[in-house]
Amino acid sequence: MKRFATAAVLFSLVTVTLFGHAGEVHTYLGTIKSLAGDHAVITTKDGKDVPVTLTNETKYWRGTAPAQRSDLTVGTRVSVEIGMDGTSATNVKIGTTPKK
Amino acid sequence: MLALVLLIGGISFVRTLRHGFSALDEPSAMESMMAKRMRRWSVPADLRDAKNPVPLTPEVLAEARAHWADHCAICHGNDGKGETAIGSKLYPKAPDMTLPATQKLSDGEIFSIIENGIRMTGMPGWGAGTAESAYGSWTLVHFTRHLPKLTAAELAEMKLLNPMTPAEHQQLQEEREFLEGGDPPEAEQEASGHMH
Repeated sequence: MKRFATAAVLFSLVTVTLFGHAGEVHTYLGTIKSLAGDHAVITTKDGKDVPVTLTNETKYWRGTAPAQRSDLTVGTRVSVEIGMDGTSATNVKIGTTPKK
Repeated sequence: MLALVLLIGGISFVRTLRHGFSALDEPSAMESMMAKRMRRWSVPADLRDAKNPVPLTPEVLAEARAHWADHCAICHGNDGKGETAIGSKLYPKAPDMTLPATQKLSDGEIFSIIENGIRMTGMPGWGAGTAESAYGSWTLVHFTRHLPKLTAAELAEMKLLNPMTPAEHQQLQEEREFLEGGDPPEAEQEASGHMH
């Protein structure tokens, strides 16, 4: 009887739920419109501005070589992967920079 | 005591019937605790304190890294943090394997989880009952231990080893051309559920 009761409670508790939500991963291709501190705005081909947060966890790449936050400049082409929270960049691939 | 247990069980059962449940929910602390206990019980006794019999060499680690990128990363991510379209929607969610909760498991426990999977979760049992399968799983135990120390160069290499659909190959090609100064493709590459 004890075993049955314990099993019933285990089953019940296993099905008890709370509510949670999961995000999506997005990748944007565009050029950097503005850079200020931890924030960047990417302009995509159709002129849509996408705000992005650069965090301490953000990784930067130039090809397959690691790059740095300081390699970003306004006008640089980038591919930005946005994490589950919808705003933080997880990976930023750095492309060509406009000639001055 | 029995009455209390039955009362808690009854309340939980009624609550579940009223609210329903979803794979997107977060397991309760009690459920997590019990699931971890049951996971430990699922490990064969002779494996619980087993040490990895495969010597760790750079070649073994490279082999495991490629294996992980091809088989495991789709749920666990190349970095083992589980922040993937699939891993984040499993019940329970794929764990951050760089954290102590995973790193404190014994070699044998990690091996058993890889080989036998975990019932009622998204973790399949990869074991085939062969020496090759066991060898592969032991090398993955080494890689699991290495996860907290992964370098950016390793992550970049792994990204190229992740499985891709023809559409993803095309996306990657378009991205490469764009970054090299070619004509920009369509504005947003919607990656949810497909990119690795």
